[in-house]
Amino acid sequence: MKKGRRMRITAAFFAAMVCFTVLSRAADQAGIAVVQTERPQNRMIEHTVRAAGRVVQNQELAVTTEPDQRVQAIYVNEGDRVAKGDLLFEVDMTLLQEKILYQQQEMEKQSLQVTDAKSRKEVSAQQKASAQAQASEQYSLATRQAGVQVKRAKEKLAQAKKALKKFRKASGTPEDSNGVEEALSLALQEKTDAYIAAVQELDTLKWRIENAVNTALNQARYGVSLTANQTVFTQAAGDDEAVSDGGGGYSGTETTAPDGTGDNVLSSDSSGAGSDMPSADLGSPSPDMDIILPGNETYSDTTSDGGGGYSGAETTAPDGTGDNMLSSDSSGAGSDMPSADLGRTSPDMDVILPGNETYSDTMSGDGGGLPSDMDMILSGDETYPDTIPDDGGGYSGTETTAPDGTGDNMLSSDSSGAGSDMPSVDLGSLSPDMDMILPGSETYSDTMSDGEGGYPGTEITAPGSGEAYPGSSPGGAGGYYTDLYGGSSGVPSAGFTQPTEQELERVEQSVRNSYSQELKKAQKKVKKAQEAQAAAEAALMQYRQERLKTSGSERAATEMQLIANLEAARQAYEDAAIAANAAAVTSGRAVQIAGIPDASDSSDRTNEITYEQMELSLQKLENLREAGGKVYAAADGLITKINIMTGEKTTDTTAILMADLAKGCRFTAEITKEQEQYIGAGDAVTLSGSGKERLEELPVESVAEDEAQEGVYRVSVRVPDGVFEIGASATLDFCRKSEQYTVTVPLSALHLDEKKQTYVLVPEVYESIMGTGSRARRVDVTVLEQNESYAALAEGVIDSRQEVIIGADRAVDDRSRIRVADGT
Amino acid sequence: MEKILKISVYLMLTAMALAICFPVLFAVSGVFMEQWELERYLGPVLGGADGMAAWPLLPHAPTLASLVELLIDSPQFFVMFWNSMKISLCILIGQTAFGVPAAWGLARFAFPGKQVILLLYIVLMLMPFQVLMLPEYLMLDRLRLLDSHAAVILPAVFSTFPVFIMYRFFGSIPEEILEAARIDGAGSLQIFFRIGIPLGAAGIVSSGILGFLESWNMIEQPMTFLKTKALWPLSLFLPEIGLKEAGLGFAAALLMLIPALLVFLSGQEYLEQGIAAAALKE
Repeated sequence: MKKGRRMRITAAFFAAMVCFTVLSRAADQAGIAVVQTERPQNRMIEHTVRAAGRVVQNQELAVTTEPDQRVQAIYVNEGDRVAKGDLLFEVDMTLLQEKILYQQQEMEKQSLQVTDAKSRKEVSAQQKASAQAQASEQYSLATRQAGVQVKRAKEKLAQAKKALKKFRKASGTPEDSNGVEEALSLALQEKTDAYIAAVQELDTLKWRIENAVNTALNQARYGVSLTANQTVFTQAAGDDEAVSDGGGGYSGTETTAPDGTGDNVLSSDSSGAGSDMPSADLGSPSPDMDIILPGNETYSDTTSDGGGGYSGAETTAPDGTGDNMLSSDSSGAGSDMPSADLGRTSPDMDVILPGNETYSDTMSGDGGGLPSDMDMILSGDETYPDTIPDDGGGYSGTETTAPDGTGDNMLSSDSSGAGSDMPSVDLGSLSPDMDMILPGSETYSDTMSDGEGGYPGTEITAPGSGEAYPGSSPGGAGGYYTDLYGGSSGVPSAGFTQPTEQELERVEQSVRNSYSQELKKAQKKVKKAQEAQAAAEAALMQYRQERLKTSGSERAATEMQLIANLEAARQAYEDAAIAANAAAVTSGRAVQIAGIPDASDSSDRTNEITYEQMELSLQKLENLREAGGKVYAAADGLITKINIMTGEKTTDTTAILMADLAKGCRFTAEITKEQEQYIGAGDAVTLSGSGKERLEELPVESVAEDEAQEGVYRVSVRVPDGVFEIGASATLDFCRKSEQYTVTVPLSALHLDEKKQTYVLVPEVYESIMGTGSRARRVDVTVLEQNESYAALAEGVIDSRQEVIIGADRAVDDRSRIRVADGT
Repeated sequence: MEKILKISVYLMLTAMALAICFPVLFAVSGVFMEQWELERYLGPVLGGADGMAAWPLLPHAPTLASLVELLIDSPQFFVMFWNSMKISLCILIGQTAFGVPAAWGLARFAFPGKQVILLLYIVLMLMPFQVLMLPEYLMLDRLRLLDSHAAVILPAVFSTFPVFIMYRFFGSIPEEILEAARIDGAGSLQIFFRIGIPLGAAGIVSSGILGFLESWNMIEQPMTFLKTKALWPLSLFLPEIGLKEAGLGFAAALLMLIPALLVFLSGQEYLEQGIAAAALKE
């Protein structure tokens, strides 16, 4: 290779190297980001809230008119200002007149309907009363007839006895010297009494079962307990049974001790929820005392007479041996019950505390006239005392006092309201042979028959507290319905549903099952009593026949005849007694049915209400007519909306909506959740309108989240009158300043990495092959507070002398080569 | 028969020449390869990939990307290139300025201790850089020349190797020529400039070429004495290159070869004489 050529190649190579050196440097410089830097400054962070909104009225007025009226003319437009009394619109008078006429006719029709409904109700009430009276009459008739028959049978029996005695005396038949016949006869008498009592008990039980079934079915079917019409059949028998008294005579269903040994019958009522019971403190009564505390609607037909004959309702001892009658009523929810503190009652005392609607017939003492015999009757109001008029004493009304006034204590107490008490019966030291019945409402507290082995000892029956006959106390805590329907009160539960046939059958079966044991027992008892009676009768007959064999045949035949007569009379008496009970039960039931109230009928009141409403409506129409069909503005205002059109009919909604100028106006604007952090109620803001209107230092009334839009808040500022028009748009400005921060940088200096870590970039000098250069370095920082322009950083990482990159002509990140622009 | 032997010798020599040239071909073909191709071939050696390294003579997808990247996007390369040029030329000038008179003095003048000095030169010439590194470092530090190009240039300027080569050339000039010059009235300087340098030009050039090649390729001295990267010569560019920039490395190697090649070609005949002269015995 020649020298010259070598030189040219060398020169070209170096020239190329020089060119590429320049080129690569230029390219390198073009890739370097030019950045602006700034030192952190000491400043406050200001949060500016700016929101555009509108001025609205504080209160709107709705102008309405009668519906279905044709609009004849509208005198205002939306946006109009109106003064109070300005005419807004008017309606067609012809149509208005027609409407008034029509309304008047309708009212007349309604008036007639009201009259009809009232009339129907009155008739219905009369019919009901009549039916009840009829049932009561039939009851009294039946029982009276039965009483008469019993009396007659008894008389016949006595006659037969007398005839036999007389014959024996006349024929010189030796009297039953050893008293065998007497004993046998007495035994027969006792067996007969027991038999009658057993049959009566069975009858009563059967009725009670039927009644309980009905009650249960009604409860199940309608969810209500017809408590007001339940009947309590109280039968109180003293330790001496009715038939065996000296005076004799049938003493009604419940026979008290006729011998004046002292029956205390306390009959009380707690209707409604029936949670309360009578509280009877009897102190320390003497033995031989019956206390009966039946619930409401009680038939405590306890009769007993000394002088014989059936004594009527609440007949006190005519001899004035001292009847205490305590009458109490606790109506309504039945909160309280009579509290009868009888102190130390004397022996042989009857205390009766019947509640309301009580058949507390027949209190009777005995004709013995013993001063210690005293009857106490505590009878409530609404008593049916009338059923059985007595022969001797006559009918004695509700509270019959002793006519001779020898010392009747009548304690009458009434307490109504919600009840929560329970009976407190302090019996002190009751002696044996005392019956006490504390039934709740609707209780059959019948048949106290101790003495002869019925219920020996003290008997306390308190159905209200769960020991009652099932089904008889729906309001009781432990009653049957409580178990069945879960309710603890007698009122229907709210979510009552109509039961199916199967359910009803089940209910009925359940009630019957609950009584089956008792029924069997009663039937057994009847059978047993009948057998015992037959045996006693056979024994007596045998004895008599044997005795007759020893005497002459002719006399024997005659005596035989007399004995047969006596037996016939006895059987007739038995039949009469049983029949009397059956009659009382049957007719009592009729009275109960008649007492069932009719379904409530409020059609008359409903019609009246409708009429009143129509009257009001007519009044409005007439007012409009008087105004000539014209509707005026009720206050100064601005028409904001018109819902009616000329020629169209009005509706029942607002016709015209207007802003009430008297109530002022306010500015409302929407702000974001971020802005909401910096503005609150009471902050002083500036409002500027589209023109020159400007209001400063106005306090914010409220800042609340918009219910319709999530994340949007509504600022409300009360605006003084006269500056802004209603509907005008305005802008709200508010600035909240923070504390003084020493390190604040422009927001453009902040960067966020993918891990949400905030950092700034600072320039740093570095060494490279190219010489000394600048590059960005990342510094992680903590932002204390920021607004849309600046951010305050926590001190320590960046100080106020450290330059921070606040901008660049291209993307810059950690270790990017940079060149700091001049003038920054 | 003789012809066959001749051909076989030629073939053998050609094969050996190709084997010697292979690294150059290696570098040239690497310049035109794509990055992915280089990584595939060199991965087993440099990148820890499995298998054996391979090298095709022709690239699979020829490209000038590496060359363009080096020339346009690598200003560092040019910084180092011109650093290398600066260092090499300064060394060359320095060696010429100080080495030529020294070699002439040793070769043409007789003075006491001349043999000792010559022996010292030879001993120093044979010593490797590693031996001299620490004393040189300490001295440069004392002179506060560290981390400057002078730290590389000055020790090389006073290198003994060029003196030794030129000593041989100047020593081979016949004494008669110098006598004739003296008779014609030439002084010592005139003889040095008018006779010594022209007749010893081959030695000067060859020592210059060798000196340039040595300084162009020097690695240890810049690494030891230069801390600032901006002062580094091109010989330190390649150690900075990894597998990811293999293409750039090949391109840089190719460009680095060119100045050395040009210098060699321009002084090829003098270099041959110089190498021969160095081998001559006194």
